[in-house]
Amino acid sequence: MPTEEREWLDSGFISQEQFAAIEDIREGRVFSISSELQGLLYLGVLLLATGTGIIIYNHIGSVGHLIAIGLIAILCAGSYWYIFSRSVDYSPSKTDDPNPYYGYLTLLAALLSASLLTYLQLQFEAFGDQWSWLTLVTAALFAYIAYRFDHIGVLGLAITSLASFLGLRIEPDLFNPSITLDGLYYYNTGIVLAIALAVIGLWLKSKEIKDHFTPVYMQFAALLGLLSAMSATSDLGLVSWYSVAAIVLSACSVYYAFRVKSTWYMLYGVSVAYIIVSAWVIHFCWEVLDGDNIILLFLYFTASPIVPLLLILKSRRRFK
Amino acid sequence: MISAYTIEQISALRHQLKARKWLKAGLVNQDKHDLIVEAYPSNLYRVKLAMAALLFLGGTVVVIGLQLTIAMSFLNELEDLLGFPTLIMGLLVLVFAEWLLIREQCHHRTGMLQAVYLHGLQLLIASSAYFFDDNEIIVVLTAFILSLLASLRYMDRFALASALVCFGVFVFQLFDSFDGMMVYFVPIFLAICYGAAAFWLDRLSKSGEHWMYGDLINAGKLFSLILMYISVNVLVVSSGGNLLMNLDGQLPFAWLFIALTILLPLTMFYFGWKNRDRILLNIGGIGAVLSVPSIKLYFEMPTNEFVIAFVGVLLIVTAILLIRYFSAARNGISSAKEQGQSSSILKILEAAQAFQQGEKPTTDTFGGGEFGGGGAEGKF
Repeated sequence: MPTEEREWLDSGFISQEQFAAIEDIREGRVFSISSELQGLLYLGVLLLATGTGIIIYNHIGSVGHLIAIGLIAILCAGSYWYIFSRSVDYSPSKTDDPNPYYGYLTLLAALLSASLLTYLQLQFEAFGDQWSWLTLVTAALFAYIAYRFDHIGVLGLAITSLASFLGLRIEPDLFNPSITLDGLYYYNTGIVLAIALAVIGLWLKSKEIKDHFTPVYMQFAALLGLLSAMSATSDLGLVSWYSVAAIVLSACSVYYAFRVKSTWYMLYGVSVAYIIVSAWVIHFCWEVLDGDNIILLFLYFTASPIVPLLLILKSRRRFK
Repeated sequence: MISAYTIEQISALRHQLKARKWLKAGLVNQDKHDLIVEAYPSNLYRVKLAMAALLFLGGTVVVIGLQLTIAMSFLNELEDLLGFPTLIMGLLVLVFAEWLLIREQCHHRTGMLQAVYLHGLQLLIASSAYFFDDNEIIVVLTAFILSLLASLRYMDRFALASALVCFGVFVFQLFDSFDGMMVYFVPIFLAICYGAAAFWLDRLSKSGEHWMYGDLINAGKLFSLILMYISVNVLVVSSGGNLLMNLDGQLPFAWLFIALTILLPLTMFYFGWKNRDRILLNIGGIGAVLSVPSIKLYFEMPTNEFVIAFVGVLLIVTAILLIRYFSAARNGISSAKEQGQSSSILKILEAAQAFQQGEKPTTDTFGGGEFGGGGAEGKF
């Protein structure tokens, strides 16, 4: 059996000690169970957060709810005590966690805080009947935790909560055509929030404030902006500025893909642009040609992906 | 050789991938990595996951568009002989994949290659349906054989997974075609077959005889173990029985499936731990977790939020205790990261060395040396 590492040893690329170290791992004499334990920890955090959420939902107002809430409050306080007591000072650059489970306990503290805030609103109506303010406060708390304890996952939660405050949500009938005033509000809000997130992400990067968070802002911005523009086009018809917005946002996504050498933005941009352009072609064949020359449509679908595919194949080296 | 790629091509690719792996683990530095990549140049064209997804989508649109265009143009003339043009079209698509994508452009798991050859296979399978009067057993058998051959030819894990699933469907249809109780033995028979496949692939992997197919063999073992667990999972068997055989929840030998749903993953986990086999360990662990909702749903037990929260606390505490316990490597097992930016594999190795020193004399390889970061320079 030819092992590549032995060839490297014979060719002088690695030393005998390096070869021995690699062999130790290959033969299983050294075995890391880090990813397995992290998975276990993540599952535990999810179960605990889900369980507490259901406890509050099911037992609010019942006799035993104070005990349950008391337990959750103790867990929450314990988590915060732990993460504050072990945390390093705030730094605008990336900081390392003091131990492998610190990040998970930070996530747990954030999720339990959200549960407690929900309870306060349910029981004491802390924000009156303005439920949306609860999501804004939650978003602010998540953002603080994310920046203070350098946690990318909690930043994602903060952005999701902010979108929720603005009334954005993804529903199964997202692409179901129905023109409503509410729909217009959601599409505009989605596009504006996407642009805002992209601007914030790039500005923070330029100021070198937690610049490793920028990909999170940009991922949310790309997905939110493109989805909003595309569903608006689907909802309001191709003859609207949303189809132009979808093409412009796709172009921005592809440009950013080349800039940061990330193939994901390429995937988003090219896919959405192709769907919008194809919708225009189908519209043209159906409305203008009255569906008589359907073979044109098949020819379009045969030939049309070839150009972007060739571009992708030619540009592959720029993504290495 | 059945593979579409030469030994030299695959060998060079393995060198590059391994150099990258050890670079990530911090055992080879960037300069040495670059030297290795330069010494073993690979002309195989590979892309990242997102790019592969894009190429797959694009490739699929092109081949389907082409097929529809041709079909719309000639359908009237060929209506009575639909099987032959489908067969010829399928073969032509495969020839296109072989000549243009592999021989000329050296595509290797690029997404586009998968889109094209999968489409060719679908056409061949469709033509078999025409030639054998929609005989389901023969169609599925054809799909199994073609997928298996494609997985070996293109070294593609997706085709291998497809072949293993097709085998399961084939066995079910074959047993179903017999009268009597035979169909009830399908889950156990499949579990034995997939288990035997996993065992055989494990032996094959350890022998190193077919090193060229190393990745495919490991993937085959993984898929076989997953399918083995699915075959005996009480919820899957019960739902499948209700759907395909109208069992109405009356699952024969239910106790056996309940026992296997719990015991099989635990057995896998045990042997994974004992033999330090990551595939077995992970499938066993995930299976053990999944067995809880499986049993719960089978018996239609209500969700108890206090139990969920309690199990969550239990898992967190257990994981933290294990992380702390294995932070100093014990018997070579460690909770330190092996890959990634904060890889601490060097610490594990030092600990393993320290442990082994009690058993056999070793040279003072890592003690106080300058392995970290500059380990590849040989200054230990």
